[in-house]
Amino acid sequence: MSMGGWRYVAASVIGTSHEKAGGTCQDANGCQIYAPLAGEKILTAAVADGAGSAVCGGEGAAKACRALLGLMDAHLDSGRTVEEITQDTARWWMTTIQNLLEEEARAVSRERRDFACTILGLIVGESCAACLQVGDGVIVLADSEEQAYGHVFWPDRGEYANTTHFVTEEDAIEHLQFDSVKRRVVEAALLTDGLQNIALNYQQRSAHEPFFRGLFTPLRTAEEGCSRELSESLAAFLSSPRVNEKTDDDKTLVLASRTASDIAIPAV
Amino acid sequence: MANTLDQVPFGGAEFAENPEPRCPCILLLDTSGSMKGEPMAQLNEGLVTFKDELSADALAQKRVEVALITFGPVQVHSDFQTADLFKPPHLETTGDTPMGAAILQALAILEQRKQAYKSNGISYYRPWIFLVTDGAPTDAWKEAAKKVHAGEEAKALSFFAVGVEGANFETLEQIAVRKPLKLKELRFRDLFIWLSNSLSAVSRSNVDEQVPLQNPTTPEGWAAV
Repeated sequence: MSMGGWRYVAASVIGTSHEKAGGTCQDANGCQIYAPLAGEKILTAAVADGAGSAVCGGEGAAKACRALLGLMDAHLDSGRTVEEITQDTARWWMTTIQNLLEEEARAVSRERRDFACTILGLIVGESCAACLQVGDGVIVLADSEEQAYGHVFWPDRGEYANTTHFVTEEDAIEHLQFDSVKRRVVEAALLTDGLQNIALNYQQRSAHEPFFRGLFTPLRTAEEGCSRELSESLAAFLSSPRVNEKTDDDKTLVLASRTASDIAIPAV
Repeated sequence: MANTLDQVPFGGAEFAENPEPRCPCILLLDTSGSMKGEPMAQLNEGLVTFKDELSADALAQKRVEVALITFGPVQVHSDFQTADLFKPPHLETTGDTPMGAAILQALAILEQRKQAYKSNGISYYRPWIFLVTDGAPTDAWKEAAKKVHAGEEAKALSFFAVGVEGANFETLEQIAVRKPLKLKELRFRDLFIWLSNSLSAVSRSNVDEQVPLQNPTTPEGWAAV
């Protein structure tokens, strides 16, 4: 095994319940490698889940993801590091996204809440990662090849199974979760609520290890950068009957690894 | 296995087995003497329909949990159980109408159930308490009303009151925050079909802030306001 740059895949697919109702996928994702001429390559990623109850939830999710990736880029463009991202930075990003959605809403004579969505963001540098989240969904990290996959924040669901917090809410900043992880992260996953039930063990409140092992193994053999072929495979996996049996919601998964493996590790 | 992996690169992912989220519902049924005869017969039939309707929905069967309390005297007929295990009882009319005590009992078993969900890592939907009565409380009910209001305020529960012909709607209006519904004729069957459909809709909802319920007060509906 050798340590290289990042390889990543990303997919958002419609849930069976939305498909039946003739709807569209209201999840969104984005993932990029920020590669300055000199210095470390930095991974930036965002996923969002548009509220089913909001008329433009899917649009809100797409806009929020794009905006967050843009804000992360702007932070790095200004010469600042991942270590320098603080809770205050994250708060400012959330306020900026709120304002943006407000403007977008006003432009089409709608309200901000019509664009309601959750948001999860991750930015990984050489030896530090910044994680932020409003609402449910989960970010999972591994520090080294041998180490277990661990969640950063437990999904913020509110008391009930069908409630969560949205970035568009007046008090969204109060529900913002932020963590600056001062370790070298080698693998990361971001997923929306639709996959929580199969990716997390609720009773142990932990990431379900065999789920993530099985997903990262093929990624380690991919070329650096975004593998389109594997992203298509990921989308096919997310729409497979095996997954749809367990969830009828839209689902999004971003996987990134800087672990390279020359030989495919066969499944046990 | 390696070959399968080539074809389905992500097929190696194993899934976590989590308990289904639960949708708790308490039926709080008046079995006082005045329900004797046709009302009680229709109520019993309604309960059978309720079971049948829930059985037709595979997901609701696993997610909806039904508890049944009758009054009076206040009796927990059956504690929370998933819909597939719920057996519609044959209820008989008995004593008076201690509605206040019955509501307090409902709130108590609900609190216990929530604790059990929490300690077992089971997620759940906002609980429903569904009161059906044809009379007026024969006991102190102000404390119960206060707790129902506090529960609605805190979004800890949804309390629905249905009055059968003869019910004291003035009191029901003081107990429930939502407008009490008047059962048309003795359409218990339609009422329980509506309740089952509503619970089914709630139990399959996901990250939706509110589930639109079918309006039962349309001309064809079972209720009047």
